[in-house]
Amino acid sequence: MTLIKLNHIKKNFGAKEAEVQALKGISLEIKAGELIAITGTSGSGKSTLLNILGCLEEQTSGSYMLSDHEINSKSKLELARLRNEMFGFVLQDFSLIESYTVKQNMLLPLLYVKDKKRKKVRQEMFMELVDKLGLTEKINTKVALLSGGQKQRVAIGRALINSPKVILADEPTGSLDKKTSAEILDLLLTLNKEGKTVIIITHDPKVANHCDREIQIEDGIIFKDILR
Amino acid sequence: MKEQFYLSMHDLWNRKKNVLSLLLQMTLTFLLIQFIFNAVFELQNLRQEVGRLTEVQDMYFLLDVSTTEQFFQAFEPENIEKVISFFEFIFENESFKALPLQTNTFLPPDERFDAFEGNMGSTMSFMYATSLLEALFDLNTISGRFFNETDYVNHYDYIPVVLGFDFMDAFEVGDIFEDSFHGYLENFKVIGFLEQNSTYVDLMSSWHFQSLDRVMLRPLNQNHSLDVSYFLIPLSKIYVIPESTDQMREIVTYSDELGLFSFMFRNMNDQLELLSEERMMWIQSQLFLTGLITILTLVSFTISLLQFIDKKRHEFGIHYLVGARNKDISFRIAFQVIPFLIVGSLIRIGLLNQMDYGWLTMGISLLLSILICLIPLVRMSNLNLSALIRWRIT
Repeated sequence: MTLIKLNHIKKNFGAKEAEVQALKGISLEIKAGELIAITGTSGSGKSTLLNILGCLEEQTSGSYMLSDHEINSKSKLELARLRNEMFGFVLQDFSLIESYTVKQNMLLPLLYVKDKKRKKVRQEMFMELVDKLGLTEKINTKVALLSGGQKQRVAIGRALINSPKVILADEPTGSLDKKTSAEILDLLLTLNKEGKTVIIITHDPKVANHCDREIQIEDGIIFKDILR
Repeated sequence: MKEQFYLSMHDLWNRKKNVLSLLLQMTLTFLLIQFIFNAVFELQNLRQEVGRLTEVQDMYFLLDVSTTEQFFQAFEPENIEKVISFFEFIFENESFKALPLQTNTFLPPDERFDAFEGNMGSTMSFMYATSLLEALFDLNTISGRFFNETDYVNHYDYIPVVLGFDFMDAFEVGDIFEDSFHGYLENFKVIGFLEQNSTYVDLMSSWHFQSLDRVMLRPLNQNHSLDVSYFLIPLSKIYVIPESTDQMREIVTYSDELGLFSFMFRNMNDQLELLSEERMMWIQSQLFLTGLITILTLVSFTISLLQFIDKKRHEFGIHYLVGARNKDISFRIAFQVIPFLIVGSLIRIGLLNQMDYGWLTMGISLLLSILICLIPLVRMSNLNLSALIRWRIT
């Protein structure tokens, strides 16, 4: 079942003479449950692609279908709801609020869940998730006091708390040592095995090698789409 | 929305020092705005009151311009007849009406007055009342009665008095107290209490409405006179309702003939205009000051919120990432102004002990809040989602 369908997506930044074309016409289909690595050199447009996939940025042209939603026609409010319900983000810099505790960070997406029933169910799943991530002892610890690996686990916990369909990970192991990187990668692979669609943006060929599919981007276009 | 409110309170708590100085500014602004409303509306009410008082007949007041020499002469025993003659000419004249509005203090040696201690110790203000005072200022009693015709002419062992509303806490109708006046003992009997917020207008002294809540009224009755000062006190501030201006001239001429007093007279409406001009100048200078303080407050709040937005860009980006809408973040910013509104207004009410024109002040405060939020919210929406996220992710 196709979960994501991009058709000739272009993205420009700047205006007139200063205009830079970051994506030059990306067409792509991603099925539910896939584990995909998007690779490419710095400035190739892979992060821009992730931003568009995660409804963080609008494309300049082209169409984007997410499940049965036509993203082009969605308002900012609807895009915010989609980000909340459909995506979990795991970023290189963890993007956690350092002054918040582990619990506060992980529960953050639930602040924006309108459905009270869903909110309650997800809150009840919190301890189970914390357990799974090995953070039980740390739930009331401020994130600033955690190690890099622990912070990335918290970010994964936050990404999972609202049970999204897609995990978007931008260089999730980029700031971690080898051992911790392997642990985080294992965690993402496990999530994929549990049925989540996982899209990882990475420089690291070792990370890409663990994925079922690798999309190589160069200069704003898909250079190679490799199925393993 | 509830969550955004909690978050905004948390944000305020995290910058307590800044909040305290902003609160002081906001409170000062509210107080100044309230002062202006008070001044404008009191002036308006005063105009209405003077308009009512002079609707049928002009009203004048006699301005005492007597010299010090005349003042002392009036106390000489050989002049008492002249003083009484002038007193009767003014207050018992059937061709015009006159009203004494002088308040004086006295020191009753009675512990029941201790609760009403003024700046000068256990002093109380008293005024001589006439039936004209009652009628002109529509004075009513909440308990007991006002003076009747006989109270102004008969001689009693106890001088009947009507007390201001505040004295109801310490006295009851029928209570008796005494005071010594220039060595003479005077006994007073409470016959009634005025309604709360009873007032009169005395444009010779002030443009404020004069409260009677802590004033004792005693009837103008020369049968209770003890010495010459009894006659001189009411003569020191007289309001007159003549049938024509000629009668005012007659009064001035007669006082000149006696040689003990010198008076000028002025129409109450003319005096009101003079006071109004003076008051408007005060209001204008207050407006200027309030305008400056308000602009300063606006700038301080706006800068504070802009700094807050800059500091929290990363955090807002994270909120957007997990599903926050522009509206949510905007509420979080706007909610920060609410405690200032509430606490500032409460301090204003507490300090001034009044709620008058509270809704107007509240309206201005709300407008101020909107202005405070305007630039930060525009800034926030210009930063928008993609800019914030890109700032952090790439």
